[in-house]
Amino acid sequence: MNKDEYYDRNYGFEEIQIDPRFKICEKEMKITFGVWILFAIISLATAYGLGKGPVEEYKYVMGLPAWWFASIVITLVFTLIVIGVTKMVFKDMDLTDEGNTECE
Amino acid sequence: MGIEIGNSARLAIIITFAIYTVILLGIGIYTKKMMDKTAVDKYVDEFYTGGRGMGSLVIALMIAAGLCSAGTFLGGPGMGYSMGLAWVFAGFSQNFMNFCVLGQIGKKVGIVARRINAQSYLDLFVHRYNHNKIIGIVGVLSIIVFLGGYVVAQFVGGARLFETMTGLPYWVGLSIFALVVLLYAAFGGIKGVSTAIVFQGLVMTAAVFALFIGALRFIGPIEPAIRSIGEINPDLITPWSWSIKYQASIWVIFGLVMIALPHGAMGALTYKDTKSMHKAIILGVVFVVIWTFILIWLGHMVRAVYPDLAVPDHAIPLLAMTVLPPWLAGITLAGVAGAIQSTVGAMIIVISSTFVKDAYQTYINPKAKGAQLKKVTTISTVVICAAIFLLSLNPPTVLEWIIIFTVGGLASAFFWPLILGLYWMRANEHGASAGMVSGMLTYILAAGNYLPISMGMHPIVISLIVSAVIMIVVSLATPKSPKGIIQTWFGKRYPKQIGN
Repeated sequence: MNKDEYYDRNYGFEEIQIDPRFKICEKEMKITFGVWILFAIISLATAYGLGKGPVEEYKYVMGLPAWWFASIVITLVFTLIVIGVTKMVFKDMDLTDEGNTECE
Repeated sequence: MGIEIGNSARLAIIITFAIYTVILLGIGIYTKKMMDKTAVDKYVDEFYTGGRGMGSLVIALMIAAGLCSAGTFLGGPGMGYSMGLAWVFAGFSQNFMNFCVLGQIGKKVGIVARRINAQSYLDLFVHRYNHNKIIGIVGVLSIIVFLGGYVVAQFVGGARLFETMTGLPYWVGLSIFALVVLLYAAFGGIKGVSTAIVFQGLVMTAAVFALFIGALRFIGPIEPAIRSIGEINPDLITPWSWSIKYQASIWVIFGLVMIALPHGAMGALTYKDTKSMHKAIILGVVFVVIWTFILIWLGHMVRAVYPDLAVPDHAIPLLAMTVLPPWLAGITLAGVAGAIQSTVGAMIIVISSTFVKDAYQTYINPKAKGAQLKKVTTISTVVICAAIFLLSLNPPTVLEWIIIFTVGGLASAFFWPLILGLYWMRANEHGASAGMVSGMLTYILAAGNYLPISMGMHPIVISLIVSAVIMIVVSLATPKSPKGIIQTWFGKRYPKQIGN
């Protein structure tokens, strides 16, 4: 590729053939973001929901205030979800371009 | 109240700590020998990114220990002690940091870094944004100033604790800390740092478990202990001492924005293949959940035992002295040292790679190769360590200012240019430099209370919004990035070389 082609700024994105690996990367980025947002929303809603009201009237589960106990359970559940997503959803791929014959 | 320690206990602590330090020195000497055997023309690649051959345990601990730092053993539990469970709950937001970093940027950075031979975090930005000068210079300066200041603060915290626990002078602790890190970072490069991190991670984990068991036995039934903390001040055991809005914004900074911190992204540059990356996510999640949950929560529980500590940051060391036999308390000190040294080691590699690759090789001497580059690498890493040591010996007052802005400032500068650069073709250098500068400025104005624009949230939120809007608008108003760059970052076909 020569300099003029490289630095060309008047082209259409449709001219670029997207590497299928990057599509997988983008999908996994969205999944990661989604799992984390879900974790954040569920944790915040549960903690602030169960933690409402005067402290003296708190219910205790296994020695812990109920909201705090629930937060720990949620973290443990999401630890399993994160492990599951990593093992089952994330794809293995070659990171090098060695098999890629279309480079110039 | 402060920490009171008898002489025999002190001796036991010193001996345990000495053994820990000797093992680290051994790691330093061993990796230096390995690096000496490396061919001169491959030296820089091996020094900064380990030839991209790092295994899962190393990557997992590099991200986890790198981002956790002294905060995990000192500051984090200290805040748990003084601010209560709302803070401990906030600590949960960082539980999945390995998943967030590697899941969101790991693979794409892995592929592109191999295409463009990126050796530093900033290399990625410099290439993606067409060697833009603003990005290069703001990037180099902010990484060196912010991370440098952060490293100094870590050293100061560690050396003060060393002074408290051993009774030896501050400068002795500081010298030991600095010498050890110098040896394995300046001569062993990323390999020295990562081998040390594995050892430090294991020591930290052992310390955490010992503390947890010791503390539970000492405190006894948990419910009365928590109730007694609630009687000191009900705010200490309710999440409502922070508004939901503020809590959510803290989750954003710890959980999500962390991915843009240069020392966290190092893992994405150095891992070997996707198998080890996936394993690194799983291992890292387990380590971080154990460390943050146990330590920060224990900081809170110390309140039930010692209701009025003079220095809340000493909650964990004090707990160690109370509930553990002295030699095990020595392991806790080693664990704190490990948390500090591992972060510092990773940061020194980031600072050094930024200086050598993005300042020296870009602006000072682009032709430097082989033996000369190796010499520059070694000398600059030694100089960085020496400068940090001198600054820590007599910390300047400007340091506190730098620390306040480090994490938020770096994250607001780099977050959108990183994410949009990776996943949005239309992002260009004009948008990125505008977004970077505006994000950092907004953060400094909001966090420094110069402008009341935080809206009851952590100032990072407003600076991220400003940075995103400006980056997107400016990118759309200016031409696309050069075709060759977009092919490299998105295409199947990409230019390996630029002809004439």
